[in-house]
Amino acid sequence: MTTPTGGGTSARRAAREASATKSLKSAPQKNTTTGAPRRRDLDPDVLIALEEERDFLLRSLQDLEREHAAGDVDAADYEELKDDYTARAAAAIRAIEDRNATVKALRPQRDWKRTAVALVVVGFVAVGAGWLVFRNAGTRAPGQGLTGEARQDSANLILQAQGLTGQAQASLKAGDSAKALKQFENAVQAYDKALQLSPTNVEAMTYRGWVMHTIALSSDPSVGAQFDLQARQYLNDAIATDPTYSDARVFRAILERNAGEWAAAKVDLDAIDMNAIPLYMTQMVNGVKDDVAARRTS
Amino acid sequence: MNLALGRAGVTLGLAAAVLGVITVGYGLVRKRPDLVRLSRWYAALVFLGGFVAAFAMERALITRDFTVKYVADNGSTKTPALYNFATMWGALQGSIILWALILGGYLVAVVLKFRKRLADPLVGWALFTMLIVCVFFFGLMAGPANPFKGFSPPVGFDGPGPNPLLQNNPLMAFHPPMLYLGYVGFTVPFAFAIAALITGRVGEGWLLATRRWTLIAWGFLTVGIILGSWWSYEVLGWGGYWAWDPVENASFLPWLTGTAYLHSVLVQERRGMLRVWNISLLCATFALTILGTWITRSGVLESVHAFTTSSIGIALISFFALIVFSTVGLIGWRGDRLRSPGRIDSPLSREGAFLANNVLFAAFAFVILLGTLFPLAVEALNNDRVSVGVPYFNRMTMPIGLTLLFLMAIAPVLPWRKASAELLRHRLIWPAWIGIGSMIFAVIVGARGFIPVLAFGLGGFAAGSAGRQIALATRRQGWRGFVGRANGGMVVHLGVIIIAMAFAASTSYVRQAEFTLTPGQSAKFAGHTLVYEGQNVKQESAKIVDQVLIRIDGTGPWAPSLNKFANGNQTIGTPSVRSTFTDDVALSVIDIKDGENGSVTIRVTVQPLIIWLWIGGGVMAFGTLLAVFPGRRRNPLDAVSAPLSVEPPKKPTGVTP
Repeated sequence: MTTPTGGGTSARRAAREASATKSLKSAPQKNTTTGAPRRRDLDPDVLIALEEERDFLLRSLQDLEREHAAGDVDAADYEELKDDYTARAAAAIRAIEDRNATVKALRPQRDWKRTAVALVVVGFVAVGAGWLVFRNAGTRAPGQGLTGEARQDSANLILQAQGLTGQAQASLKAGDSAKALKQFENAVQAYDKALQLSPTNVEAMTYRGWVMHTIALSSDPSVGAQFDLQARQYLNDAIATDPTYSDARVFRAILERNAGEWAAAKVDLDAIDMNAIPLYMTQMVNGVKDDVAARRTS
Repeated sequence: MNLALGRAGVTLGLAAAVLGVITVGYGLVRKRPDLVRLSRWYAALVFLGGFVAAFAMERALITRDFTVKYVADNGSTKTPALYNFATMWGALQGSIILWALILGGYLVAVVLKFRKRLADPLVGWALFTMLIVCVFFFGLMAGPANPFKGFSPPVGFDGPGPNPLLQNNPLMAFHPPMLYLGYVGFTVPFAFAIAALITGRVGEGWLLATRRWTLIAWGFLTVGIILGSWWSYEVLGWGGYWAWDPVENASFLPWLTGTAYLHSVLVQERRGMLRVWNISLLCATFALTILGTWITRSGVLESVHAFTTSSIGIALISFFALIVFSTVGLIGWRGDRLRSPGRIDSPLSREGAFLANNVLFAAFAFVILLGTLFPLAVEALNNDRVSVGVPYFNRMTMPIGLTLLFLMAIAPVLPWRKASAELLRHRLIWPAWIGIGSMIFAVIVGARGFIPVLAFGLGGFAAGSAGRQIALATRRQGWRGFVGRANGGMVVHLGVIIIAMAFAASTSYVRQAEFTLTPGQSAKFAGHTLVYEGQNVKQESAKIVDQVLIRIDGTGPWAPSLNKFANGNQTIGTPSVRSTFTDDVALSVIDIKDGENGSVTIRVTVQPLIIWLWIGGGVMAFGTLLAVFPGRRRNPLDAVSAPLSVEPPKKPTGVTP
């Protein structure tokens, strides 16, 4: 080291060069008109720059001590540089403390009342949304997505309703009648949507009627009678719309048999095209036929 | 050849990303700018790796190289050229290639933009973060979502081709890339947010560096969502464009938080407030892009238990958790510095309105996130398969949407800090009259119902407010009154208002019915006359198209069809839509009965103002472009009104005199 301005380690040279500009930031500037600190001076980025300057100067001081101990710096240079670094590090530390104090003073006191109100509002919204999502969640029908729903055509709605009916019957078997009732209700809604789109859809009418009858079977007899009445109306409408639709005839014959209307049941049974119905329905028809025949013979 | 090239690309990208993370990370920790500057080479290599992988996949698809399993699973000699090209993003593995390619592109763009500041720790940590994201996506390609698995095709093998729904409309070629440009674009501001937290430079510098990147990503995401809705409307044939299904929700969630951020960031720039909130929003936006990918790509939509059997699902949810925990940890670490001096002086101020807007957007996002995740949680907990229906989403989002429309009218005319009633009266009188006029006009032309009429009124109010701002800006600045963030933002507002009006009209007054018709028979519905003329069968390379020819009010014939695809024997309907500025008549075929006098069953959906959804989307995209252009030069950190007025502290604590 030869001269205080030109010698020393590269770190110290850089520190000297930087000091001229960096030290300008050492204290928060005041607005000339109001005396308030300028926003830019409170920027956390300026604080970081000051902290970097402080760390750099403290490191330089450590370097200086090491070089002095090794005999690489003469006593005069050492004293001069040490004073310079110490003064600048102290200025940086003061500036940091000033800023932190100013920021702390400017920072509004936490308003606990406002915080509590905000928390209550957030909690209310969260609980309200949770309750609503729970209320609006229903059993997922086969083919249905996790959320939302594209508008289905009548054929898809009927498929969806049939799937829900199957799920409901499984729930009944498992002894969960509340769940089954909810699933039956969803099936009825799907049939209603199908009928809204296509009011003359005999399949939707028929199976909506059949679902009502199925609900009637697992209901209190007085309520069940009401459901059966509705079921009969849907089946009547279906047969009026398409007298050749066998499924409606089969279901109406069963209802008539249950109500003891043997003659009416026989008329419907006779009108059924046995080639147009599935196997499981053939068994149902045969059962009803046997009952009607037994009743007529007795 | 394609397999080797693709694997080489993936390996190159992964190696460059891993080495980049190590080198740049070491350089940053050890304060070695020379090492940090090497990020430019790693970025170039990552991009090159992604490009080579994408090139190899496209080459394999175009040459029908069935030795690549992805091509064997998703390609076909019968697929038309455009859809064949788009097949790369039609399935999981290929879409990850697109993601990685775009990510590499953004990485190179950031390096080029900040080429003179590469040694700046803020930029260095941002690049480090982006490289970590690159490691994840290239890692996916190297492992669980490997698109370059081999296959030994038997002689004469032909693949099934992409999902028929993905080759029914050219929009599919553009919608996913736009969406991904948006999703991936949010990596840039996210990376800078993380860099700001790590370096402690949580002031406004990083915001200024990334605001244009955020706008661009948001613009792409907006266009992607609009194109997705349009595709849904034109292809799926259900007569709608938004069904609140999980895939739609997944893309909408980051849009909501991104939109909230674009507003609240203005408060931080001008007033230095909402730092924690802004960083949280950005990180949430990026995290939601990953969560959305998990929802749509992990198999969780089939069953909540399915994702645990696929390693991609576990990888994505783990990455999501990493993002959330590291972000929360960093914010907690820097919590003290992030606290802002000062507070909002009055709720009746620009910043007050932005805060309200953010609360609403956050509530909007929460409602959708809850509705989307609820069925997954229920299934995971008690194995019940439930579905959250449209009514939940409509009931919850409708009041939020209406309030946002109201704020959209008020906020632009509010000054910063506080406003007087006199000033508000002066600035809002004309917009209010326009709002009232809109309601009266809507009622005159037949609108009924409180909610839709209110929506039209609020839309008119908001449009008047945005129009006033644009008029004032153009009077002051000429053509520059259209460009810049504030002015372009007003054009975006106009686009949003158009969409809101179209949404209100189309969902409130939709009418739908099904008809079974024989040739020559007509039906009347919702003021339109439909005449069924007959059928037309066309043989195309990949499908047989059975068209039903129908005249609507004497125009046409319009030709909805059933398409029978050669591979897979799937029959997919293609609707046909007659659009006018007042309403759309959408026709889709439900059934064509053979041998029954050529009778067909069609579904007719009549919805008003649908075309304005797409026009509104175009206006939003145009407004975003205008907002990206630099407006009048002004330092955004400069005070906008009175300087920060501060009472001297009553009890000075530790202040050095």
